[in-house]
Amino acid sequence: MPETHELVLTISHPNGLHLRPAALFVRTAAHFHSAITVRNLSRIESHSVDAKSMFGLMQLGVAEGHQIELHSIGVDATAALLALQQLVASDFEEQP
Amino acid sequence: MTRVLHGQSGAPGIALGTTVRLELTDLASRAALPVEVDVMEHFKRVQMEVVAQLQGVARELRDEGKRDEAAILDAQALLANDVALTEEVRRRAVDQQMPLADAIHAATEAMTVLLSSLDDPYLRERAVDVLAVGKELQQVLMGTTPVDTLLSNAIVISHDLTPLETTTLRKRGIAGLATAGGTSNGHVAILARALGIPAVVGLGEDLMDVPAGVPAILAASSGLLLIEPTAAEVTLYAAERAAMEATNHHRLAVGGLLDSTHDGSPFELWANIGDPSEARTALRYSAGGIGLLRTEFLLLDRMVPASEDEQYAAYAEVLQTMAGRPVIVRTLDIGGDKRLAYLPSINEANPFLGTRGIRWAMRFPHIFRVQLRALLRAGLCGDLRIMLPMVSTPADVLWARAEIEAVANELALSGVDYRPEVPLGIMVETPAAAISLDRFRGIDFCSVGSNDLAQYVLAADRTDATLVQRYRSDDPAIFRLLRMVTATAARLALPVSLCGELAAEPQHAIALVGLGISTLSMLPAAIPQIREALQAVSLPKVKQCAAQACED
Repeated sequence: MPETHELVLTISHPNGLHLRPAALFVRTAAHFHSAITVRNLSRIESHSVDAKSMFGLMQLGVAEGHQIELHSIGVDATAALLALQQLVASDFEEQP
Repeated sequence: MTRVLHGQSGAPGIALGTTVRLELTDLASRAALPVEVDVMEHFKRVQMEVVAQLQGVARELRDEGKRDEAAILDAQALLANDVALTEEVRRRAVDQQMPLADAIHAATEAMTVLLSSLDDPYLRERAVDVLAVGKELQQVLMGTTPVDTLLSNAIVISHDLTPLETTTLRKRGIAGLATAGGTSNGHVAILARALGIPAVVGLGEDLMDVPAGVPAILAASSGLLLIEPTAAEVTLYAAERAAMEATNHHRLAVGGLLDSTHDGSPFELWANIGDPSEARTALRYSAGGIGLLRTEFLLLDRMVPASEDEQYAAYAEVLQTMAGRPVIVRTLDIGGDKRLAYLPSINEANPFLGTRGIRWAMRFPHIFRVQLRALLRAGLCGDLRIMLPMVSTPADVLWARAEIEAVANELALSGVDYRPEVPLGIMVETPAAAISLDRFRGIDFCSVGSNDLAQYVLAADRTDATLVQRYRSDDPAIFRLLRMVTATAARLALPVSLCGELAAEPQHAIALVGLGISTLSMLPAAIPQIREALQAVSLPKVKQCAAQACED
């Protein structure tokens, strides 16, 4: 039975979901089997995109302070959202 | 008559050479694929090849310590292999039966248009990255390797370059780069700076009229491209280039690297290290010096303190590795949260306000003297400077200076070689030192220890994670106090640097340079990012950031 989960996160990274944070986000999402979509709640015209797509994330134009809504369906839906939540909470901490 | 084109400086330097045009061959004229090959399978192979090339170059850059530049290529690799791109290409190549090259072109064009329409200037710039990925995919598909046949005096002229092309050009040893598009913060400029290729970007469409094979001068620091220069101009720029190279060699020889903001205001990035072996890492990240060598490794986690000879060997190793660049050694900073097993522990209600740093040295002067002896001897190996931690009154410095003199006398009497005049400085980490810096007469330099200074100014224990989040080291109170420190230091002509986590955060580093602290010391791995951030800003901008940091 696949699980469905939703989560709203606030991006506090000063560069928003720009190139490097977006790349980390996509890589993290790609670890999971679940289908994950993202929507930018802070832009009225925003639609849902695939969280595993760099192009998708770039289109969302997520800037500092924006809220994003994550939606995941699949066997590891909870784990996927937790991992992404942790990444955002750590402000996309990059390992040297 | 010389033709002059004006653009933006992408990376500094002067190149004299011959123009070479670098453009993708006309795609339409190339043969179509054999029909029996499954088009999406073929595309997959092309994607994998581009990803492999990008990751290969990223790895090389990372090995050289150019982490941020490597990240640009990593992100490109993700784009090249993106699910959304694959889908867009599939729709065109399979559903609409478009030739694969055209499908890639159309798909990346469409995505670029989409990104360009967003009201975010950063994303509009990233649209260029998508185009670059499209170009890279097409190049692999067509088997074109446009950068194969270049001479070392080539001034490469192009509409725009992909990150992969830019990094590949370095291997060909070209003289300089000129692009019609791009900005001084674009990826071509960032990579050219990291790779040391003189570059002028944003020269406009006029550049595309410049023929190949004509003599040219790229005065990259001034953002100029001179086509068919006169003999007098060639002589002039050749002399200027020779002078620049001489300055570079000189600066490298004496320490600081040639680093400056976008408009030429110099800064220096040094490294904080806690072990002699890390000096090599610092050099790899092109640190201009060691701004903080912590010496607690000589005492902590051992059964007995390191002997004088062992200490001497450790300091000498760092000084020799740094080859003439400045090395600031902080004397033992024990106490606070650092304790030693083999010494009587001091019972304190408030260790951070207790016997730590120089106060600890006063308590155990025999251990301090061993360190001083080793330091004065090692002073002969390079540009050594001694820095005292946790100083709060001028008497602290007077005491240490008397100890140094006593040790120097001992060494002289016993006929041991040592350096008599080692510069002596203080850490500015207590509010008292920051407020009354002018009272510390006779010191040669000071360095702000922003971690401890923040803890003492905000009265918030920095080992308590909850407090650290609420009482941050970038509080306006800290920047205001630093403004006082730099004003006093400027009046006394006292060199001031900063070693602390504040320096490793790009926006704070910019504000610190704006306050007049142009020597920043940080963990080696943070240097490339900070260098990139500071090279991209101008003097008015850093001043504005400094003013903002002092307010809410």
